Amino acid sequence: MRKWGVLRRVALVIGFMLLIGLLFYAVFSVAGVRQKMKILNGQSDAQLLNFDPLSVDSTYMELFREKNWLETRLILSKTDSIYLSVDFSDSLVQLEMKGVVLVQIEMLDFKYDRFFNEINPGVYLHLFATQVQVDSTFSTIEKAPVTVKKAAHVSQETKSEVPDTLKRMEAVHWVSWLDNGVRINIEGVGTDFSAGSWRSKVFWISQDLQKIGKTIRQISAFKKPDYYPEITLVLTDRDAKTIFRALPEKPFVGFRF
Amino acid sequence: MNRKEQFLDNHEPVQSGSRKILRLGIGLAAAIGFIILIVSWFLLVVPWMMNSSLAFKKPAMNVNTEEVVTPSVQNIKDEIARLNSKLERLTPGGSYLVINTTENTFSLYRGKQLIREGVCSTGSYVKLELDHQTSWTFKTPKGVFTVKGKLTNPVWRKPDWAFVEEGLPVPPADHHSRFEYGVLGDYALNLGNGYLIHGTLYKRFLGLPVTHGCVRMNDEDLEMVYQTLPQGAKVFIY
Repeated sequence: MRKWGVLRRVALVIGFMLLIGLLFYAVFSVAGVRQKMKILNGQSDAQLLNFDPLSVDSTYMELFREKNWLETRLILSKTDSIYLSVDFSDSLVQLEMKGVVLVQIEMLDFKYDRFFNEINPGVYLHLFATQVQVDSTFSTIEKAPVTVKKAAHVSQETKSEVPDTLKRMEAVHWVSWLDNGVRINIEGVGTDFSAGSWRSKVFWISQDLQKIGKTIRQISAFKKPDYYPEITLVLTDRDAKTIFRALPEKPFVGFRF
Repeated sequence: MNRKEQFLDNHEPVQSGSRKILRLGIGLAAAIGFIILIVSWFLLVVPWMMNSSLAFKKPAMNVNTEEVVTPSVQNIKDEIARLNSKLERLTPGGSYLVINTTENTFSLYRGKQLIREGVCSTGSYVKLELDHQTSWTFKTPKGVFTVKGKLTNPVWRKPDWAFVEEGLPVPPADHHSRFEYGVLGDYALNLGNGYLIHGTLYKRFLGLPVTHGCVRMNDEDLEMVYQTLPQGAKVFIY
């Protein structure tokens, strides 16, 4: 009986401490968002156009964002590599090069953090007016699906079966961190969704765990956690693969919200 | 021993066992509930809070509206029209070809108008290793290219890897065994660095990534592309 009593007390104490921990996690996470907003609002270039978007009508803001998007695409057209332009107003993702639209893909779905609706035009320009570049990417598929073969006696064409890496069912997802502190999640949805669904879950859960782990580490050191505003694009897995393989390791990206 | 003590003595072991099970059950349910709480807290509640008005209390902005000069709607509209026409001018006015190496498809355009599309074959991404020092990776390069030359009845001058791949000794540079006739189809468009758009004998593999870096098309598509693209036309490969 005594043993049970001690165990119960220990469980209660641990439970209480965990609850406190959860509360801290929530408070610090919200503080992280506020801190990010405060830092961005304080940027000198963001201050130049620091008017409240609610003080102008929505048409003005749409025009403002369209102009910014066109300017960004013109800047990107001067680069030598393939780049991505994402137009949320028309639900389109485009691969472009030298100003030429190579492929235009309709998004199945998209969502982005409320953060992007709350930023003022100055911060919007700070984040998206210049060339935004991908810093790092983590994906479920390889960029170049290279298979190594030793010199053989039969050339590939005469073989009856040709390895087709494209028709293989695989989950196509990737996460890219941009140099402006924004995170993009690309979710490929297959026609045979069940084929890659468990891999998809494992991928996104591992991403969530990494994020939570990092936040907990920062909170443990009594620091406000870094907040990376997120954008999630849902495409068909074929389109997602086409875009992923077409883009260079560190592509430029342009957005229109 | 009175009757009560006797009763407890008889029933306590049974009651204690069921209590244990009950306690274990309650403990387990509490633990599961706690785990569900933690998971939903991290994955649902906190992300919701981070997107709620809790996180977006308007900060005290140092907005001096008198100093902020915002362009007028008409100014922005004019600017958009100017930028749009600038962007439009970047698309070639003549014919150009766009090749998708992931899907192994091509699209032929004249200006913004799509005039033909179909399947093709591009690089296989096979890395052929002869030894530790010598290897070739068969991929179609990505980027923008120009048609540097146009050929009819092209002859394939087999590079070293073609012999290595078949396990044959590599002949001297201009040996007659290097030249194969009729394998590249009726036409070829030279993109430079040894990369061609040409025809193929292996039509069943069109739409698959099987080539050594060149782009293969069927005879009809190739003829159309050959006739449509002038020398100097752009070829975009992604």
